[in-house]
Amino acid sequence: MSDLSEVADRVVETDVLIVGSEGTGARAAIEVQKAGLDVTVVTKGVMAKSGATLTADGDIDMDSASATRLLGVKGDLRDSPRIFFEDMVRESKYISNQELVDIHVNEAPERVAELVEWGAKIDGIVLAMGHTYPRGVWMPGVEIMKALEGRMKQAPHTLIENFMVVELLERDGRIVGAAGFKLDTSEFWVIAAKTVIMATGGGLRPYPHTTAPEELTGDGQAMAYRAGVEMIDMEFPMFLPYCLLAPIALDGVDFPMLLTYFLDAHALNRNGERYMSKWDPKRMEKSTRDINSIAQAVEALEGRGGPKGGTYLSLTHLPANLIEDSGRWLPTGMDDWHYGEFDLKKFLPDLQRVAVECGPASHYQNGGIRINARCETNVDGLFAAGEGTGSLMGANRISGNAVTQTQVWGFHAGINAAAHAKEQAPGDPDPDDVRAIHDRCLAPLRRESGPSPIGMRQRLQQLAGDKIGVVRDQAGLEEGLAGLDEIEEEMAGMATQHKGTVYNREWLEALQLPNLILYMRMVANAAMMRTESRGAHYRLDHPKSDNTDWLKNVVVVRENGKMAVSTAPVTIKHVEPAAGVFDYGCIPDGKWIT
Amino acid sequence: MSEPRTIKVNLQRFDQGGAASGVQSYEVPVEPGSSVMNLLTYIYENLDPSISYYISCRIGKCLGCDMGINGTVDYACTTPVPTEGELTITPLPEYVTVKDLAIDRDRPKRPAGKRPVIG
Repeated sequence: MSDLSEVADRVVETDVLIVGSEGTGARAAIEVQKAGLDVTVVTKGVMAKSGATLTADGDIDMDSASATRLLGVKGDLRDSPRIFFEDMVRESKYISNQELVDIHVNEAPERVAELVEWGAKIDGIVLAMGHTYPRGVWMPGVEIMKALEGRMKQAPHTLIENFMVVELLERDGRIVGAAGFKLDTSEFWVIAAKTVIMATGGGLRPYPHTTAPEELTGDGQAMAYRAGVEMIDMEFPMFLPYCLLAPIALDGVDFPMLLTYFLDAHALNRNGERYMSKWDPKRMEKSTRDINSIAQAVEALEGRGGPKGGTYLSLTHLPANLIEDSGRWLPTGMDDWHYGEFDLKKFLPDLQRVAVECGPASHYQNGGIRINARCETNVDGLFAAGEGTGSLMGANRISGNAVTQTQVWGFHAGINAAAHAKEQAPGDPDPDDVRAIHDRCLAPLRRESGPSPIGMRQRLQQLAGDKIGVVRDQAGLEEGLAGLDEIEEEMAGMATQHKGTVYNREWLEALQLPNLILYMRMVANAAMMRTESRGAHYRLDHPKSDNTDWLKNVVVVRENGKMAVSTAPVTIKHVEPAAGVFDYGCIPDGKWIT
Repeated sequence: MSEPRTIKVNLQRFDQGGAASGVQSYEVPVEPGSSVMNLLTYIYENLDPSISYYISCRIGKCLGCDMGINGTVDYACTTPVPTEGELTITPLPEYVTVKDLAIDRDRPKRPAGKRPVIG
């Protein structure tokens, strides 16, 4: 390792490196610990003070009958893993990998019960969009992280916080670690590992409105792509409907959407019409979130939105005292008109009299790193789990299932990565590769003048929202890709205005910007290939759901330095989709075959 | 249309070594319904990219943005901008300051006048 220590400020050696410390990463770490291996967990933020898991409002899914039996909540005994399976596959619009869905529904109860055993508090069970029965055990992300952090910290581990991994290190076709910077010192560290698990979450920050925390800039997907890993279903970034567009303090907060779970909230266009009657007349606002978001975007696009480009969500048809009283029974995290630590009454107008304008906000990525049932990728030594992966959710995820995904798949990634690591020699990164990464990353800090990454990121967000957003068409996607080219060209000469080396936010943005651009390039190319509409992907120029030609997954991979886009057949196990071409949102139910 | 309101934000700066380097003031426009975090974002994006602070979820859940706001410890993302007067922002007092508002949660400040017996 003598060479490495000349190019890096510090070299850490470990069996399993986990990139990401929250729901998925922490759950995986617990399994690596159980296997008796050395585990190093790194995070761009601070554990249990960053990442998406914490922001989960409350529902974590398992079938209602198991929830009733195992957790004592008032669920519905008619439910079963099989019905949960049917709901997931139907709402994935039939392109999820059914082998993964099968494992997911069968193992969810054990994983959720484990969190309760480790100290996470629950507050009942809710019926949310897309589910036949109440499956959302109410366990806010804050509770989940308390339980996981407590559990992980009971056993030996190395936790490195404020550390941004900037590149995976590959040698002889195997991933042998990662390189990154300590954000609080700018020290450059190399972590040599036998096996790496990517648990970095989605890439939601390229969009102007988002429910996601600051860290979710698609770093994991971008690094994996650069390492030759296949990406699947990237055309399906999911938007949550009815998120606040104002006031600015609450931008992206999904409180209005949550009201649709618990109260009969009405979504109205500027003419006062309940426009969901055109999209899903039976379920209306309780339709799935993909359809609600797309309906909202289309209403605004066709000139029936409000001044901020959203639509209105209204409770004003309900009695004033009923609305006031609901503050007492809404679950933990929403009670007494609070949201997290927000006192909503300080920020929101009186919902007894006024409708709030709200719109879709980026919330989750259905697609991502392509994994098999062992959480392996196509590149040796790299495992992945959680939101950063694709295949499980297909074209749309139902409410509460992302947190279940962190637990079921973090568990598998941990077990399988540990088994892999036991067979490997220590990771031995190439010092020349490491030096090149170091110099590239420091260039914007060293360059005397050039455009700031702040302005480029702002332009990227505008572009992503306008051209590669909730609804797309060919011309817009082409403009989107051309816009990405422009920003990327400019990025080559970017320089931070501030040259400090301790918590330099501008430099952090310079490190993230290439990932944001690459991530949006994957979304745009996949969206361009899929000439139909399905789930979270809506093409204005191809508005039908085409089960004849498009029961396929789009795969993006780097080949000879270029982005290659192709299709792969859907993995079917129990449910055979209906054949034919259908109106968006109207794919008939598939048939159970085995 | 009336002119947008501005507020004077006084920021206690700390340099890279963690030493206090004085108070810097910024005149910041206030969009209605802003939180203290929105003002920090405005300063960082438009006036002074050198300021350091920790923000993650922005929605009152990660509890990573606690700081001194006009003399009281509160979360930057959920605290409304005061309707009048100035705004003074200081780092969380319980921990060692790394730079500006960024603190090291692994290094609580020791009570004054006491020294550890070992180490």
